[in-house]
Amino acid sequence: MRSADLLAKLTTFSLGDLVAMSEIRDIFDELLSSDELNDKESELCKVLYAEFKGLNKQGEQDQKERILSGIKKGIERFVKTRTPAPAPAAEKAPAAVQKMDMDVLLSFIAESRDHLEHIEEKIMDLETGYNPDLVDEIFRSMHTIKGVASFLGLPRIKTLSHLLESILDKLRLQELTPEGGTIDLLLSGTDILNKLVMDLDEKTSRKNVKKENVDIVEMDIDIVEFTGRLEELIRGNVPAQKTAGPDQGDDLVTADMRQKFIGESLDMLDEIEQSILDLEKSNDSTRHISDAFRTIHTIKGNAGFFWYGKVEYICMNLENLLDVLRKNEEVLSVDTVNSLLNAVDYLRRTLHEIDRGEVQPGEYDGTSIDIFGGPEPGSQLGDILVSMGEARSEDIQDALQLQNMKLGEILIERGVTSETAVNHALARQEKITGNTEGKQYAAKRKDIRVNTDRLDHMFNLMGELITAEAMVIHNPDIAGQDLPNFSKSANYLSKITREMQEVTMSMRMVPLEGLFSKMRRLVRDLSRKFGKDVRITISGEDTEMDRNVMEEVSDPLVHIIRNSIDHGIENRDVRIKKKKTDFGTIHLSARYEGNEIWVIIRDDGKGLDREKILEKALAKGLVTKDQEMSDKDVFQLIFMPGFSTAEKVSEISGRGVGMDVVKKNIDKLRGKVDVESVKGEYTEIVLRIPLTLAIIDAVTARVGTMLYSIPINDITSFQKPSRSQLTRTDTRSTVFNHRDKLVPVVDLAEFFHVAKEREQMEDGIFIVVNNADKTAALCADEIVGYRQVVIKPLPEYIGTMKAVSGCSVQEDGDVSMILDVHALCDQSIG
Amino acid sequence: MTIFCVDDSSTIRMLVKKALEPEGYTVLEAENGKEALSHKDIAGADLFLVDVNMPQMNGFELVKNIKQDTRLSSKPVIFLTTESALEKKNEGKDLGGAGWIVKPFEPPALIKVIKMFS
Repeated sequence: MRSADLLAKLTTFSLGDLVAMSEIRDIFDELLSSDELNDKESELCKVLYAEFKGLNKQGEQDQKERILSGIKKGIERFVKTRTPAPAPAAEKAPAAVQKMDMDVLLSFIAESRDHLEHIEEKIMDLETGYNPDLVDEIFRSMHTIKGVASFLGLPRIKTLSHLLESILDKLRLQELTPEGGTIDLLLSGTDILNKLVMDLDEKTSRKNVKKENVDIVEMDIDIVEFTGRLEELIRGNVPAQKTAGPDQGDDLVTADMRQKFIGESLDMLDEIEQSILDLEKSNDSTRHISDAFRTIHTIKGNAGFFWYGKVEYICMNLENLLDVLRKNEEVLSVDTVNSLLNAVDYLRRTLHEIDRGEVQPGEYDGTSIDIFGGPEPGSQLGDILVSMGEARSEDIQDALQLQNMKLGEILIERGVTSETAVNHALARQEKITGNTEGKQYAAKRKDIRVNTDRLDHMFNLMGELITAEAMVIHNPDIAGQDLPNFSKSANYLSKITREMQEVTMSMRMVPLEGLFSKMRRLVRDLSRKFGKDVRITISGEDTEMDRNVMEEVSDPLVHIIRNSIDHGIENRDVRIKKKKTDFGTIHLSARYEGNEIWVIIRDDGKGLDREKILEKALAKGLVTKDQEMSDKDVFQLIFMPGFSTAEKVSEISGRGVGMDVVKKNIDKLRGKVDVESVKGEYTEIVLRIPLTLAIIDAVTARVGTMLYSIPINDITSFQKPSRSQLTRTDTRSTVFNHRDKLVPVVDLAEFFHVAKEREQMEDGIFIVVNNADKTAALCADEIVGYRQVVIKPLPEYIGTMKAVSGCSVQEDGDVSMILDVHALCDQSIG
Repeated sequence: MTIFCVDDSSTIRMLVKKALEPEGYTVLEAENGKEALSHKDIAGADLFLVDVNMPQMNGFELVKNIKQDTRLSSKPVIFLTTESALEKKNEGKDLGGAGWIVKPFEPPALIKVIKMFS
């Protein structure tokens, strides 16, 4: 009965709904081509159809409405003659595109990343002040993501972006204020979105080989709880407070204490883990079990104090299992150990959840979790073990028998069936929870994926190529011969290798922006954690850095910033008393300086206390009393392993992470760490990272029999000095009058204590260098050449040499030392 | 027939293009109202598919501009919208839009709608 369908459609139709309009036209067509209507009706219907078709032309709205109701009445007449009218066809929900078009999906991923990349910063900016334009921007990003996700059938992304959009809309209408809780929710929402998109990205890149349309499904994570919180926030303003994270809570338990609890428990878990692992190896299992038992008991007690029911529950179960083992050691097997380890992992995860504010204090019924089975559901071994442990206390002898038998069965069965399943589940779990430690923040931009190992390999080969090229072109066999054709080809070869080198280098260069915005988030989170108002300013984020290097810099940066916030920046009232701004500021910047990239972290905290550091170092035996040390040397002490001036154990010191990590990582990169500080005012830490790891342009100079290479970026000019330009100052130093400026002269021969050929300075050649506002004239015997050198680290047996950052093999096999001009200036002219 | 698709999402534009080009339509693209108005071929467009929410110049502003331009005022403007409330959808229509298509739409539905205007 198409006429009835038609009427039903028309009744719900509103002018402007173009899709419905086209559907109605289809029904008209069908109706007219069927034999449902008699001739007369058909005629009328055709007229109505023509009228209807006219509705999409431009015209008066009122008139169109009248026409529409006329058409409806006309159709009603046919329908009335036919009974009964069937129920209107069920409205078909717009089906999402099931098979995803690969191009569309890729476009969506790229687009979402673009949006998400900057959204986090914008949200954080919101916190400092409401800005309608900013809210609008974020709103639009969410809106776009939502719109496209609905096409692609991505329900989680769609729901999330929809809810976040609603919150932003409320912010826009000023029904919500951008306070901590709301911002937290927006941020976590963005995190989840990011995770979902990254997952899609990973899946698509895996399927990239075949370009046809494929089924790609969203990551299967449970967002119901989270969306619930969003919905609550949208419905009423109250719950935002509730979700404001671990900072809230009653006065008895401060965030500080909670941190301490988590840190301490995590440390204890490491111990327990060690004990459990030792169980497998050693014969003295009783001791290890007792150790583990005691430690678990401590955690349980602490958890009780903080009222973390879930932690208590897990600890209790672990205790029970350990108790069974203690009394009956035959039960001990690989699987039992696995179960114990699984439970430890579970506990660790729970602690991290508390840390992130995902688990709130409260009772826990524990019905739904299997703490021993690892993330694979359905492996109940642990539970069975434990329930047996409990049963045992009631009827020791009988249960013991039963227990041994059943356990054996279960263990075997489990060992056979689920080993691989557990591994799979673990791998999956890792993907979902494992990357929550801060990696997910900045979505990486990329165009094609290349395994970095391959890039590294190519990098090494590039270094070899340059050495090989030099060996051929400057081969002693052809030295001094006039070979025009060879020179031509050689020049061409040099040009290409040089270009290739540049391209190779640039391939791994990425702006620091991503790393820096991660730090913004860190500062925000930490400042909340420590209850200090700390702001971060950033500059130079477009400075590019080798990707591998950046990964190494990330950790030190985190440590330094944590340290700054924890120990450097004073509490609010202290700051006010000292007439400082009531909030602390960390300035993070980066710039190129000569052949290095400088990453500078400066805080306006209490500065380093020279006396305190010395005192501590003395106590630890790191220095001797009669040692005379400059401030610079003293400040370097904070990077010594085992050094910590913090009096109270906080999250950082509690975790055994010190500034020595900073030094270690930077050393690995052949970089330097400089510290400058004025007590009570500021601390500035400069990470000086070599621009490239492998190849630099350098001028090689000879002093006596030694060769020194000076990075070209540090050199400003070469001078042949005349006697009149040189002035001897008080002691043994000389200055060089260079274009009416006095430049201190560093005689490399004297500096490195090597024999020189010349007697007078003016017989040598001066290389004027400049690094970080320091200028010096280096005096050498002669300039040997200018070429690219491949930096090799100094062999270990040489140890460290002052002002030398590495060495390089020349084409004739000689070795030249690569000068660290910065250190050289520092050490020779102060 | 030339369709001018104005949407800040490149994915949506791609979807539209993929749907319409095989049907023989020419598709012009712009990211927002402002960009659309300064497009050199705007006069050649026969129909506009316009997103509502866009940076710089939104869909409503764009339709106002189109209706004031004598070269364009007779060209139908169709809104691509995610709104479900009727009043919201009518807002664009009252400004002179021919109507709306609710996102997400299926490509065949889009083609049918556009055919009504050809």
